[in-house]
Amino acid sequence: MNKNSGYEHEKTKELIEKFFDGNTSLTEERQLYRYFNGRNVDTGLEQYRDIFVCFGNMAEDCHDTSKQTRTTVIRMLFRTVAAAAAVILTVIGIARLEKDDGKTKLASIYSGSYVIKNGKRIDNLKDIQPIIEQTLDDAEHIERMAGEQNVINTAEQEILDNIHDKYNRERIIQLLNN
Amino acid sequence: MVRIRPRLIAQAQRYLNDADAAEDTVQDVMLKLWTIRNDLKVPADNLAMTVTRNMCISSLRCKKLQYGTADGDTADTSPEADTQEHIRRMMDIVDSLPTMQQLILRMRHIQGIDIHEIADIMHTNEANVRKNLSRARQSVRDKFRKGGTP
Repeated sequence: MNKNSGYEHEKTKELIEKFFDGNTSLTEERQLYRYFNGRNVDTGLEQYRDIFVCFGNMAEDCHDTSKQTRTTVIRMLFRTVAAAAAVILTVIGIARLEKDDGKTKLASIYSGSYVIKNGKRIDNLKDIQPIIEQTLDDAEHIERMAGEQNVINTAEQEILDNIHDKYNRERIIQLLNN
Repeated sequence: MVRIRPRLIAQAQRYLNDADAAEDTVQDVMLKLWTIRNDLKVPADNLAMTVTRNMCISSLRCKKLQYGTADGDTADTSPEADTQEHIRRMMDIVDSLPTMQQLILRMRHIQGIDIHEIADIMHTNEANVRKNLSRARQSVRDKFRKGGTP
């Protein structure tokens, strides 16, 4: 037995002991499985071959499955979040457009309006326009707050309704409910 | 547990593609968790989901081993057949372990979950997980050497 194989034998023995003490990392465990699945198992360690081959086989199939499942779930989660963000941004964008359009109509709609301030009537639209606009803004803000919450609540349902694959839909429902 | 049962069944059905098998599996999961209820910390949802997944994978693996050999008539004495037989024997031994040890061993060896993650799922500390894992592995080793009858 040369020095190298002697060293490897000792290292492997240490790892085996560590394994049965429950102290190995996943990498060290995979090292052990590879060693015992190989052809050059030391005769002194032959007694462990079967058991480590079995332990190695327990792990083999399932790591890929779990990775696949995790990747698929993460991909779906990103799609869900992106879709929800797109819906919310579209609604906010439309609301802003309507507000800009409304500003130009303000003068024609509200000509003839007045404000009583400190007992004085103020008719000048240029003077009272900021006050009217502020009041309308406040009302719109309150209305939008109530509307956005409803959008968030219905966004999830809209996304689910657009997923036709039953399997994917169930996965998304599970994610949203977690 | 009653609250989470529908989710567990749905998860098991996705793996097993069989409503009856899914029900049976979830029943086994409930039973296992009931036996360690005194050590369980709430919420145990993650643990229940993980255990369900584990058992589905074990079940699929058992089916694969059972139906894996091609010819029923001639005895297969190839090294691969020996390995399959050893794995079957080992899984029987694992099934006979105390519930806590079984759960931890499965999470580690079947799902490849890290020790600190297992500790999180089971709401315990790493030292406890390592202790149970060590005991489980040593039990499996000793019974396997003796001839593997659980």
